[in-house]
Amino acid sequence: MKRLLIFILFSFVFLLPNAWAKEPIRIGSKHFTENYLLAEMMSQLLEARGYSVERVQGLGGTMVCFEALRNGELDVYPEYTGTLLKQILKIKNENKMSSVLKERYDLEILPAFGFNNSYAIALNEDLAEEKGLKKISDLKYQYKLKGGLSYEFLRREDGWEDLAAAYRLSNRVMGMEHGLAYEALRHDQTNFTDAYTTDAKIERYNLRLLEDDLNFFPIYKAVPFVQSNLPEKVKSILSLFENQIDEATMTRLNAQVEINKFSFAEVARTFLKEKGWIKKKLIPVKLSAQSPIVVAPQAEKKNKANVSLLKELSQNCFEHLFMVLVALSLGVVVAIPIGVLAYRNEQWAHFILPLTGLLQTIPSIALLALMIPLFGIGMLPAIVALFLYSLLPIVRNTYVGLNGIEAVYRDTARALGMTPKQRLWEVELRLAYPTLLAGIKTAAIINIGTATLAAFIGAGGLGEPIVTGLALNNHQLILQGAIPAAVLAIGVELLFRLFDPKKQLSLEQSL
Amino acid sequence: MDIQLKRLSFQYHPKGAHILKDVSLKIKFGESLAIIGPSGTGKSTLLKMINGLLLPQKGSVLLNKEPLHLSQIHALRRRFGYVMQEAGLFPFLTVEENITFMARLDGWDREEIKKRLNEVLDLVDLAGRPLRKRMPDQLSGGQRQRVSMARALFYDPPVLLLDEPFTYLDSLVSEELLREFLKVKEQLNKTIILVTHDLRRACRLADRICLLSNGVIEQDTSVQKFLTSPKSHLAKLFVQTLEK
Ligand SMILES: Nc1ncnc2c1ncn2[C@@H]1O[C@H](COP(=O)(O)OP(=O)(O)O)[C@@H](O)[C@H]1O
Ligand SMILES: [Mg+2]
Repeated sequence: MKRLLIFILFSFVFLLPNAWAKEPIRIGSKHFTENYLLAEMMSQLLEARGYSVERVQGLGGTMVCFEALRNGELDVYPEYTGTLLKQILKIKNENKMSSVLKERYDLEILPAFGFNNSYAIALNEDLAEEKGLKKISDLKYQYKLKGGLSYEFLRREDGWEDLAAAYRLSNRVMGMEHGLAYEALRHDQTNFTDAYTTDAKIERYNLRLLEDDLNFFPIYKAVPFVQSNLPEKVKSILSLFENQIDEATMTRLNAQVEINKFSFAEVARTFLKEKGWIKKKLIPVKLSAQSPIVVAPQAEKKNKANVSLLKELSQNCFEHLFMVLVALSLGVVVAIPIGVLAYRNEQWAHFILPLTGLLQTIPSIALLALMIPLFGIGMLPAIVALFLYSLLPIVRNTYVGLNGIEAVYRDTARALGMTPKQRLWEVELRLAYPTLLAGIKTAAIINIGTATLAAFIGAGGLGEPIVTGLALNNHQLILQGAIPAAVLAIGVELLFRLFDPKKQLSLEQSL
Repeated sequence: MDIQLKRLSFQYHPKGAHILKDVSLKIKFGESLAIIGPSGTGKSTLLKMINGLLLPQKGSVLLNKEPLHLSQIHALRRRFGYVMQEAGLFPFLTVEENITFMARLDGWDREEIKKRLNEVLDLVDLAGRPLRKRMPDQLSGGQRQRVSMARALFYDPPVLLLDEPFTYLDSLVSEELLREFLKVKEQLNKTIILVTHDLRRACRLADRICLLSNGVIEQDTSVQKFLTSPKSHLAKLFVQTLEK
């Protein structure tokens, strides 16, 4: 049923040209450069060997990826051994990892890529020099320094809390998006952040990594994390990566994307060619809905880049609008009757209004994550989440609009002999219409904003360049999503003006 | 249609004050009755019980000796024309749409609606005016009340319920409207129940005066008798307002 729904939704918009191809291998990634790259390399290698691949890149964090893999929405994504142990399995013994994975989830890991991308604490070289900081334990005496940490590091099992306890640190820290954490550091808004040891930004921003002198951080070896029932042939192809990428190589590849602005696809292709795993001949890289395009100015001719940019832009806009419209239509169809119910029955109102209010207080990214076990990843859970968000403004405004009707109109309608049904349709809803419309508009604008986060669960849309841009700290990409989203919101505002009888009138009068 | 109110008691909220206390009243078909009293004494409340907009907690409303049946209440309300102080024209409909609203919902055919529309517009002296297509907020207060009257007359109801129709009008316009009511009274055989605190106009339209005070009927008599022998202190006060 769930699958059918997803299929209908997707085929409806002709989003995925390869949705009809038989069972492509779905390869996911988290939303940071290295993970994108590893996923892209695996994708291209499999494609070179004749498999069709669906890219589901830029997913919003470990739990989103893991839940998707566990629920069969993904076949493969790059994960790290430390994360598997501490965050997913919550066990200590590395030797038991494979058996527990198999037992509990029917998942397995393939031979490691070869590098260890551990967490590290990074700070500006100048500051480190000035204060004489070399080891994490040196931070203990610098309790005035402020940390800007990624949310994931702040909350995870082997994250800040445990680190601070182990090293007895008392520094103030705040959570922020990882891509932004470096910017904050650069502008001295914060003094240190969590970093990955293979992070290209360390050199770019001239950061110093503090030595983990207590060996607090576990080893984070990157591995392909896969479904057990993946064909053996596929597994053996992916096992080609065993020990082929060391820390230096990974850092270099990351830098090619982040500093030299090559696209993921390009960097991955070059690497595979260097290894001699794919032919020198160019393989056309199929880009599906989820795969981000990074325009590489050095590599592509200008007008060619413009064409693909435009295509990508319209695709993103289209997906974005589709999600918003479907969610909003569902919202209207469901929320108006609920609002009417609340209006008709004061007791229900006491129950309905706080409940829809409660929905609104769930942070968007949390709501999106909650959708995964129920609806998997992609557009369906995003639409459900957007739908839930659209309920409150519409229910509320329906209720408020109906309750705000002057008694004289209600009395008149009754005195004329209208039945309750006629009163509702012919009088009350028409009188409440402007308020109701304002509710729908609010919902539409909330949805346009929230839908940008839907890229975290692989739903595409305008959030896709934003998420990618955040991962790459690429402002142009961020704007590529943010500006159209703002334009859409303004467009909606103008569109609703057309429907509003009062505003139309005032326009007439001003002429 | 004869109307009989039998020992009505009413409160808006179970724990609230009794707005009407044991009120009984008989109104024969064709009578014109004015219910007067200071504001807040329950006049509008009483009027709303007659066409079942409010239902009494105690007592009963009999129409032609039949108790009011909830199952037919919507059909029954069409037999009462109701005009309120605020006119109650729907702001999203034009004048003629307002007047014909119920008939269109009832599925009358177009010709019939058109014919009746012209008749009622004629009755309230709006036939020659080019305001059929106007919205209510483009009308004067007096015009609005006349449109409301036309709407109330559309189904040719045997009873007209008028709840302070003059309140928002200046005296000149009130005079005009009163003349329309008098014309309707003379031309059509209808029961007219007028709620007002304006004894002067009550006397000109009604044959009978009923003084309501704090939910109780203090005096119920012919206009003549009310003016010559007001019984209570309040009744005297009302009569004094005429002498000024
Ligand atoms: N819908 C209502 N709910 C509660 N109290 C009401 C309502 N309508 C009127 N009342 C109260 O009932 C009393 C009588 O009101 P009403 O019949 O409108 O008086 P009148 O028409 O004589 O001025 C007033 O005290 C008024 O506040
Ligand atoms: Mg009143």
